[in-house]
Amino acid sequence: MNPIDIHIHPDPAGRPHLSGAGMAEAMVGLMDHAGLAMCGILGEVHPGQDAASVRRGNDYTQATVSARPERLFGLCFVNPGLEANAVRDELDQRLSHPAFRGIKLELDVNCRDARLDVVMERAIYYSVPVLHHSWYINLWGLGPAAREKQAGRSESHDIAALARRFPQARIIMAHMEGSGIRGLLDIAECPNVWVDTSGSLPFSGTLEMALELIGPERIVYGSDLYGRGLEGQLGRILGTPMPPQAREAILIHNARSLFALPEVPAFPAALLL
Amino acid sequence: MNFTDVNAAAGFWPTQHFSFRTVEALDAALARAGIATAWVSAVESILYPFPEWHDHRLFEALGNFPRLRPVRTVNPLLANWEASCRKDLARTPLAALKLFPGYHGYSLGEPAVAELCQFAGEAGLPLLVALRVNDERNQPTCMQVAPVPATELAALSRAHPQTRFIALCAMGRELPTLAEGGPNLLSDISFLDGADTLARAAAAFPAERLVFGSHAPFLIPHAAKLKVGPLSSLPEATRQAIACGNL
Repeated sequence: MNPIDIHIHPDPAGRPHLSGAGMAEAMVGLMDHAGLAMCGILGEVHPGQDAASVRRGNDYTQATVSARPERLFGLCFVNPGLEANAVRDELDQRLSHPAFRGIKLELDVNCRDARLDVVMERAIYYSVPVLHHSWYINLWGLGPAAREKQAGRSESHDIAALARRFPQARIIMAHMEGSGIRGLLDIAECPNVWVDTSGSLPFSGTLEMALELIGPERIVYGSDLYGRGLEGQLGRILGTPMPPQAREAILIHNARSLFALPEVPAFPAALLL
Repeated sequence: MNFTDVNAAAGFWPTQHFSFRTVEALDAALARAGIATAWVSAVESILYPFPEWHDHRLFEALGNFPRLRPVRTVNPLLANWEASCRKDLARTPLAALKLFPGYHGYSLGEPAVAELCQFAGEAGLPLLVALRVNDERNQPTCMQVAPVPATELAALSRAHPQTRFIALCAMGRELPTLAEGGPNLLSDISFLDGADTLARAAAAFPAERLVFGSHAPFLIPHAAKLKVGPLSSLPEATRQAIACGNL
């Protein structure tokens, strides 16, 4: 079984010497070692970026994916807080390029805000999913700078509201563990919302609850590498009791369907067993 | 590869839906993950004001599971902690003593802790110090517990060189501080994370002081096993030592 990981930040800041093509080779080397078939690259997503910074990040994603398109796919990051035409132009440019198969939204603008309309309209037009950050985060332990960074955050009830506003859009709520059981309940009745399994450490029980509340067909594997490790994030899925078909849906089939991904010939992945 | 898990527990926690809710289920999950021996404390003793009550019931249950070794939870603020521990030592083959300073409301600098360190050193029992039990970002609003400062544990280990300490649930960012503790301070791997988890940890903390801990049933034990597996870039001998040899 060769999983598809939809949530990877390639960390160019940590390896500034690597070109997009160099990063692609490094990523595919890791994927071969770990047994991953394909990975979704999210690019540079820190909040508050201007249009030039967003473009640079998406340029890097495009260069990375274009070097190994049979193993990598890109998600176009945008900041909906920027001027609407700039957001639309960036989305049109990227989503008409084969490197990009989705959109990534992070912490810039709460997703109930009307400034998301342009993003969701383009997602529907290009028929690509939107991977949106979500977390019921405690602010008490955060310093002033970290709190400020969270000012535009979305929680899973916000994601549910967005999904109801755009029922034709497909939304992936990132960080199952961050939203927890409350978050799963928020989106349970929204058939156009999927959940990615990333977030924090592999706490037991949350994935089992997700299987019960929304079913395996709406759960997608994501690691949040490089901030998180493949070991812990894959261990969450491999170590949770569930039928083999459910595990394959989460690790492979749901991502392939959501992002219209090609088949990758199977190769040995003994390291994860 | 043989695994000795220094950070396991059994029981009920009010804000988490454990996958493994009985001793039998925990034993089976650890067996599936290939863990040969696990040091197990009672989950309820973290919150209950009289830890030995739950500990003793757990110890009875563990008698049927040779894989699982009993761990006493100790609150050094309780008047009877020493007498109670001495009684247990005489009748139960304890693997270690476990502390939850954040939940029991004390600093590691308090005099009662020094007495406990002395006791544990003389008894030859490691002191397991839980820096946290969950991710502070996700704690319920009604139960927000700050982590135990790694600086306090590093200082405690230097002050009590005859006692062996194991930090449980340390995050990667706390390892450099823990590394400043004495050679008698070890850390488990349960909360370590990031790409190539153990290699990253070994860059911040001596690999020979890292030990295997799953933090089951809070965390999924299979995930801890994978950290020590061949996905890691650390040499096999180093990984084997972390799995059980460093204890």
